[in-house]
Amino acid sequence: MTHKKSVKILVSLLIIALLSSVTVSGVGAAETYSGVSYSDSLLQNASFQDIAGHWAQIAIYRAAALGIVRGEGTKFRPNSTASREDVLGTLIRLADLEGAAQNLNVDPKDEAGHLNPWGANYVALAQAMGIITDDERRKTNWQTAATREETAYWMARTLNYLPVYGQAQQAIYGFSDWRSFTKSRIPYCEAIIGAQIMNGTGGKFNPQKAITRAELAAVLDKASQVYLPSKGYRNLQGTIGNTSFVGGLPGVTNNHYQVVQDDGQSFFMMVDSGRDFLVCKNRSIGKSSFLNTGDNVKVMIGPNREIILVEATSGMQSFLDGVLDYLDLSGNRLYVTGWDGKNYIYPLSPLCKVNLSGYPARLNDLIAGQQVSLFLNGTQVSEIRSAVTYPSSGALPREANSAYGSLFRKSTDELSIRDDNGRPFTYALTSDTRYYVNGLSASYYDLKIGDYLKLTLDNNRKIVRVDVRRDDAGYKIYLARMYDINSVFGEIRFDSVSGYQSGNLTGLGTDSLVLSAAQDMEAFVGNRKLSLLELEKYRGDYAYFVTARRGDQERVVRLVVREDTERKVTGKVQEVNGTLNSLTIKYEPDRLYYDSGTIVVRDNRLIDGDAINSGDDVVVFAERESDNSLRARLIVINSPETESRYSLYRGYLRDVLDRSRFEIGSASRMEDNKWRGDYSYNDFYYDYQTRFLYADSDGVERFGDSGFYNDDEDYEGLDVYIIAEGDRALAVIILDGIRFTSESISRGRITAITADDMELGNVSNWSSYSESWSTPGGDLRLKLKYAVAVRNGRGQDPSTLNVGDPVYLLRASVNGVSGDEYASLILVE
Amino acid sequence: MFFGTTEATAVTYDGTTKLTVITPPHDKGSVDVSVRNPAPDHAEAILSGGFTFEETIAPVPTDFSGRLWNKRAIKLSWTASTVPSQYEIYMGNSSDLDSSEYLGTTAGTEYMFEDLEANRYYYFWLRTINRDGTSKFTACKDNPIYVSSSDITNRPPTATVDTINTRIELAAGRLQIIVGEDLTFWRYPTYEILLDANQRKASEIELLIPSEGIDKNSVTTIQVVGNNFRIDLPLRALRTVEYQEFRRNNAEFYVKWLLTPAPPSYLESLALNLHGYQVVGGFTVLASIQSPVRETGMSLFASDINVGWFQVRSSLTPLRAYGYDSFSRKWTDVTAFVNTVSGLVTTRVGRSDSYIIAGKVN
Repeated sequence: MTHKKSVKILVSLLIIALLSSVTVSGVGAAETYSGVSYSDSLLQNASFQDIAGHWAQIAIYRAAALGIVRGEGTKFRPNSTASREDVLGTLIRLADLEGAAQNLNVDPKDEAGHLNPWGANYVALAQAMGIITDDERRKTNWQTAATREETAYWMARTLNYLPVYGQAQQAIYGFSDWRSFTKSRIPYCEAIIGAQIMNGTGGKFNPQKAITRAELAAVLDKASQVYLPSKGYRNLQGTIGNTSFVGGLPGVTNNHYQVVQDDGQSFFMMVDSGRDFLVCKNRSIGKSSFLNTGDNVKVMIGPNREIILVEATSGMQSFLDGVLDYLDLSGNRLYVTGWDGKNYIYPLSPLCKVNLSGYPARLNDLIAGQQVSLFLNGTQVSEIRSAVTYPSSGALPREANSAYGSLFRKSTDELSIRDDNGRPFTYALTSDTRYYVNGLSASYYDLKIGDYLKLTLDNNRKIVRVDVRRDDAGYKIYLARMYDINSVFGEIRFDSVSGYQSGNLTGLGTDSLVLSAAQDMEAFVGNRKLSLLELEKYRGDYAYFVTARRGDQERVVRLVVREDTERKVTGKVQEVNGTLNSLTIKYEPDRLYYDSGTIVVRDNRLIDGDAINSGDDVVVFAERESDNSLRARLIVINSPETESRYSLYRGYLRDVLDRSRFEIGSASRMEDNKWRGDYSYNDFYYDYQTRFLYADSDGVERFGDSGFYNDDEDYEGLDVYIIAEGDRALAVIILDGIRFTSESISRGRITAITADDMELGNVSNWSSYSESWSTPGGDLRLKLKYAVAVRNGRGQDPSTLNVGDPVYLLRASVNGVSGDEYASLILVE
Repeated sequence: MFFGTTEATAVTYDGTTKLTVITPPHDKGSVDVSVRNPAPDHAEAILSGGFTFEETIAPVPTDFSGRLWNKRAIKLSWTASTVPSQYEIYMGNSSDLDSSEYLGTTAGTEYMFEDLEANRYYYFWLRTINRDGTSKFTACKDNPIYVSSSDITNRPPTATVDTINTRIELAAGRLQIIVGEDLTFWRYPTYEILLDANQRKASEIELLIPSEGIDKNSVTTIQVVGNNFRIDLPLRALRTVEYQEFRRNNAEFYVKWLLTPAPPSYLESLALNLHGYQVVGGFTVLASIQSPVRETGMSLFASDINVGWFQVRSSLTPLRAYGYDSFSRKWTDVTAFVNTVSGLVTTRVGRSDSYIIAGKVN
């Protein structure tokens, strides 16, 4: 009998051992976090009755979960003002200094002036830290409301924010009422406002206004997001994938929640009878039992791997209809084109359901080109619905297929792109290929090397459609010192800023610059990619970076940390080898190596090093490595950019053939910015959109196609200059006894224009000997008397040009006479 | 006669009521005009704000000269014009200004022309340009400047990208070997790539072999030996069907040949298919052909490549190498040679695939 019982015990022990080993092996593979033993009292502290629906509700919960706000009873009184001692108290708790405060000996006489039982201690600690003077401590009424300025000042002091002096003081002067700040506190308030912990409303900060308890909670919440990560706190995000209960000893239940993050990695949250955590879901607060499979969660984790608060949202959040482009199962991503014509990329939820014509299906059953409806939970796709329209599965028709990548080579019949893994692909263009830039119809000439493309392919892998996703405006290149990096708000503060301008990095007037990092920012040190958090380690180092306008803001899109040395090499690329990742520059005895971290800019595009061509005119900023090789960090290419939809011709008007055609003789054509060839006879078409200009010693005359046709005999034999698109003349200059001499090609941006002349800024001139654009700086003033222009495929008079237009033009003197310089053929780029 | 404090350039006395004066160069703005009698009288009359200087076309410098500079350039120089302006330089190979072409613009007083060719005459012209227009051209005093071939020997050197010699790079445990183009003319049976101690430790190795070498050399075998592997790669093995197809459309490209340890999870799943054996290790061979614009896989090699894999000595004997044919679903023994002393198992690799090394469980 006893023998039998002991066997039974042994068996049950064995089962327990087995079960627990199962738990360990199942969970041990990934990160595991657990709740806290004092979850009951936390929940009680946070269960305020008067904050339901309040704007600061979530912030109050977070502050309560962190233990910063506590002992308030059942009411939080969000709209009452916060007393000075309470504000000091919460700040001291946030800074984890409460223990120090409570250990201070306080004169019982001083305690009389305080409502808060620890109030005197908080004030005493503040005095000990030098935040307030003895005089202030005795004369201030600590029970009355704190002002917003006091809150900001005390916060900066308790959390050790360094005061900001001098030119770096920027944020505070954005408020119209900055004069109401106490002068001595401005550097500290600037630090808090600059870190985006406090902000104002309606352009005002209201520094002397009392702070409400809700405002205080919101401020503490923001401060905690900035301050706590440095103390080992973390935020994780994902979807609850799996929950399971594991029964252990009688009366003990272990429960673990699997959370799958966007990148597909999981972590586990453990709950048992002794430990639980707070959950805030659908604007109410509770414990882990609130969570359901499929909830999208944000988890705050403390320095001891304990779960402080889980914010959950459940159910469908939003909805998207479109066409499936590509399902990247290994990357756990879905590429979809919405009906709005935009491209979306979403991570898949681990529980993503697929529903085809009402039946459950698998992700593998989806095919590119299918119409789909996506149900999104948070940032992840939780369900995909579609209909089966093809007769049978099995051999599926692949009617549409897409490829993504950045363009690195183009020719009239092929496009080569490099996908996200750096692999090259080349696809053929057809005459029917359509082009779209940001959803608007465009042409082949609008594609630029470095553009990020989506190619829609037909059965034969030929390109049907090209979509360009393009940044709103041009790139800017800088070199600056990274003075501060805030990975929480994705913000980088620079000082000693230099901007790239025509081959030089020149100091800018502004000494400091605060920029946000773009979502897809890539940061490098050498060829190693860094996250923004890792970049924080390089605080104080110099970096080359490129910004673009995204939305309404200039943001950093690419950054590479500069090491100690800097060398500038300019000249023409002699030789490039993509396999060896190196290039040589004429008269430069060192080879220059580039890598994935090197920033390469051409035509306002970021391109990769392999798209550099020999003959390119480059400015390279490089540094010498420990092995004595030169490594390029920033390469700017001043490309000739010869490709244009227009061509320029000159010759003599041989014959006006009919109402829509004329012929020129001794034609030469502008190729690579130089007159070349003798194309003997050339036919051109003209129509009502063609602009003509006739010039003789008496003056000039402008007219349209009928004017030209009616006087054709007078014009035959005269010199002509033509801007053409294919064989269609868009603008024609006819010269009678007038000769253009000392012609040269310039480009720039119009800075001023009148009926008679225009001024160009940012001018560069083409030198055909060095085959490069040189930028002498300064303005160029040109007469418009003999000028014709083309814009958007139409001939125009120069009077239609506007300030700000980027132009490419042929300029000349007339009849070898010094004095005025004239524009002749003008292209608006 | 003074304009401000500057004396007039020339004064002609035209009678008691008239002086003809050439104004001196002067900055923009109004100045007082003063007329002073010669000594001993020194009587003076001043008209305050009597003359306003305006900016004009800058007069062209008269001392435009050029000379050969340090065997690499022609250095052109001049003195600055009295009126602020930039200078445009035109150049030609004949004395005809009309056939000249624009060379460059500068705001300074010198210009370097570096694109010299030997046995040529160079002619230069200069003019000023500012907001008010351009001046006349002035020819360089030294026109024509003749450049002989001896004038420009010993120019500063330009580096070249070295594709001739083999280059080896080790980064993050992966060894990248770009085989040099000297392979093309290698007439010995083996082209041995020697590694240093650090490089030998690498477990992943990537070989990039230039197409020219594969095309023109069919006798050589590339040999690389590391601590974990030994590769004997006959070049003819790479002349596969895919290679010849690729060759038709592409001029110069590389074959990328990658050897990595097989992922453990893959080995485990394979072991399940191979009853009675225990897997002790394995490796993966991946080959592809890549030009700057295209990349395509290479599956079947044209002949066997010998890959040796050093295995920790196992008690299991004999060790054999196996490849799995997923079409016939059969395991094939691809062992070439087993050195039981060193633990080197040499495998005949016939295609891009994973190979395992296994021993029979007794």
